[in-house]
Amino acid sequence: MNLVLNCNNLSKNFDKYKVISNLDLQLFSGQILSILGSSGCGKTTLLRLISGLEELDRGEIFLNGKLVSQNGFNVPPNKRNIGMVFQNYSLFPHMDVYNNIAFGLSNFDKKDRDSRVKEVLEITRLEKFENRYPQELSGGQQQRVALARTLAPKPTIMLLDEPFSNLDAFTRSAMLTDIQKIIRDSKVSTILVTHDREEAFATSDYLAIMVDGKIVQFDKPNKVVQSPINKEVASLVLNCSFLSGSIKNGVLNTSLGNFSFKTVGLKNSQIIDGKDVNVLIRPEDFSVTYDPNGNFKVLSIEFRGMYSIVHVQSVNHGFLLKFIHNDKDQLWSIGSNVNLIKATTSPLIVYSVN
Amino acid sequence: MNIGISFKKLPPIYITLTVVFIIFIMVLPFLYLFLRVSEANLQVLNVFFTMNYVYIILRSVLLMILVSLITLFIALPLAWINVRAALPMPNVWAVLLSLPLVIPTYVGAFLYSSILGPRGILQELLESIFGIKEIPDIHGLFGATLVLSLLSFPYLFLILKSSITNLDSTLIESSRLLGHSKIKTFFKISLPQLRPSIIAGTLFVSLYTLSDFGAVSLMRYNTLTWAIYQQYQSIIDRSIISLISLALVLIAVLIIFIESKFRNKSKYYKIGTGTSPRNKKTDLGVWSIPVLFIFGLIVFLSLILPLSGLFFWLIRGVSAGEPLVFIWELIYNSLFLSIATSLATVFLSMCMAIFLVRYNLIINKYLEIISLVGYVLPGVVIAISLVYFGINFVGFIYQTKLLLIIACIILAFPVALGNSKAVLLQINPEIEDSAKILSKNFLSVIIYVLIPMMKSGLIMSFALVFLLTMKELPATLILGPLGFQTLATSIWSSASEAYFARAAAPALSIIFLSLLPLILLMKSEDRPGIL
Repeated sequence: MNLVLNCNNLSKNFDKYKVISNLDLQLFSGQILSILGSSGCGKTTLLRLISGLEELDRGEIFLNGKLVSQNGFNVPPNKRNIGMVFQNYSLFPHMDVYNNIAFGLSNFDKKDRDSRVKEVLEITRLEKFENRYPQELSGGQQQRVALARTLAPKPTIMLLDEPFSNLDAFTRSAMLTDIQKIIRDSKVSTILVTHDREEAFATSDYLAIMVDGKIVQFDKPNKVVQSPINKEVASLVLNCSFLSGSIKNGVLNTSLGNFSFKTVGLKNSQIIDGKDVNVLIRPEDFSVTYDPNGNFKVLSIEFRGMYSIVHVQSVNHGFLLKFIHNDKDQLWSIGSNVNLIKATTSPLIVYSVN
Repeated sequence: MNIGISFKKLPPIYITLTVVFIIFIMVLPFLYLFLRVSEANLQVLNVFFTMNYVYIILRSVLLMILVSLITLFIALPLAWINVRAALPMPNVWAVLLSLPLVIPTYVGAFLYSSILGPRGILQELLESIFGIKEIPDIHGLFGATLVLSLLSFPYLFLILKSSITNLDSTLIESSRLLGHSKIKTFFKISLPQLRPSIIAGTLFVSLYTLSDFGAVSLMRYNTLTWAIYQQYQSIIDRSIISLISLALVLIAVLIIFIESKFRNKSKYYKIGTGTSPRNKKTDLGVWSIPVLFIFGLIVFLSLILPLSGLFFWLIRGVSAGEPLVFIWELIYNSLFLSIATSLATVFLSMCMAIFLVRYNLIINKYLEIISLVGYVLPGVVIAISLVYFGINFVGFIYQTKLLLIIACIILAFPVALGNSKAVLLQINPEIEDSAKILSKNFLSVIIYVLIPMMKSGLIMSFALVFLLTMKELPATLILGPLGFQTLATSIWSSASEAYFARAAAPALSIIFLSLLPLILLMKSEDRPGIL
């Protein structure tokens, strides 16, 4: 596997506002990489830097080993062979599907162009729509046209900017499967940017978590979910809550009891005895049981179909926690007092308090 | 339960009656033409074809085509560069390039001919320095084209500027990412996206040129409007007037038809939503110097040159003892006419807009076409038709300001209606529906919900109509009561007798008064369709 994209120490300011700071990112050929981050963290700007639409302030970008961006040096976007699917798809409204797709193939002769368009129409299952105009298509179809148009010139890398945000929930879940198949079939290296963790997990080989213009964690999605490196990452990838605690004699003390613990990214020695920590509480870590004298009160229950999410509040300390519950005959309801019982044997993850 | 539905079926009676009144006055000019043409006999037709009218038609069309092309060639690059290039002070340039709007064509005509024409300022200068006694006469086609192009390109500039600003920049970026250069992207993506506004703007300029009376009359370029006015003054046979007018209508309808042919609305939607990133401005580098020079040249020709001519004549007039007292009455008359017309037109267009937008009746399409008569027929024809009905049917309003105001309403109505409709369409009908459920009747919905929400649009309509009426000339010449002079008519009569110094003070007043609504228009964020 060779390195197709290498971003080295990128920085970009808009006026005095730092959007990207000292960011590193690598992409290998054929991989799908998702960048997950909350809105405003600089995801779109990163894509625009990679595509050459925006010029960077510091750092270098290499495409297939060739330098394309540096301060004061910027290979223009039309010379980079990078494909980008915009959030609003940006289909040319005055061209039909065929011409939209053929638009990036001006270097092909007529016969090759025609066969390439037919090829991507087939990959994206749009054969029947080649003479339609974009506004005559549904949202999902428009998105497939955007993909087809981007794939047609066989780009080195394809960039997808929040590709699912304009679709309704139903189309979205269908397109998640669809897009993945189309990308895998065409073997193009892809970066997908999203603020939705399910989209990021569903499509990617690798997951990069972006916070405040930096990549803070980079790993396979399941690894990130197992061990989020800090509180921000944990809240991005998990529907979790946090509890404060302290370490005494190698044991984690909390108001829920004493537990074994582990750390991520830090050596255990960095957690000093007696120091306060934040404890990551996953929704499946504890089970909620009825107890008239329990220390917690049920605040609300969100029914989610396969399970419910229960929000509870500590009677004595006021803090909030949430858990998954899928017991059919529960004895408690909103307002009941309950107790929490550790449901797994795995140690709890703790983060140091800054 | 049919709360709400009972409101919806038919408009309330006061709206319906207002619309009936609007349609009534709008139909009059057509009715007049129809009556007159039906009176025409073979002899008139012979006269029509022998008296060089065909030639006059061709002259009108030639002027129209020239002005449309020239304005497009000025306005499109200026607007594009103004929005998308990193030039210093883009907003100042935009204002300077819009300002020629406030110079009426007849003022422009007398200023250009008094500067560039025979025995004009330029010639005097050349004579004193080089001893040149004669320069080519600019009267005729050249002068008319010059004046109309330099004074009407701002309309197109403003229309294009707003649609270039609203271009979806991700379309342009997509094209760049698909391997196309900036030049190719401009021609393949941006230009097709701009086509509807290019066509609409050019249509506006060509109809404006076709119906212009001031510039062609002072530049002595014989077109249809000028021929109609001369015929009206000499009164040989009125059916000739209507034949010429009919020719005008036919040309106008033909242009509108061509426009609708070329515009395939469905293909220019902005698809999807999502925020497009801010437009990046291109740095022109060394090219910014020649570009700035061209910007400056256009501003000089269209604004600085005529204005300095104006001050020249003003100073010469005042130093020659030209009385300035008389001007207050002219200002008063012009203001009265403009304000009365604007108020009435805003009110009427609002009612019409509510009727057209909120009540989906089959006849609406036709009612709207009829109400656009002011677009197609020039002021001369509308005024003459109102004279006919005034004299023959309602003698007591003939020679009153009321008839003149009605003519001005007909002329300004299309612009006001377009604007009122646009704001009304932006109001979510659900807001109106919830107001209907909460209010006791539709009138209170109009007063407490619609008018406040349409406020910005109504103010803009007012400003636009004010601007148009302030500059209006031929209808006031024909319909104004005896002795009723406005700034426009006084400028025209002084200028047509080459009393340029006498025309200077009223011309300056008219420019100053037109500035007020223009400032209002430029300040507003969402500009109406036509500006």
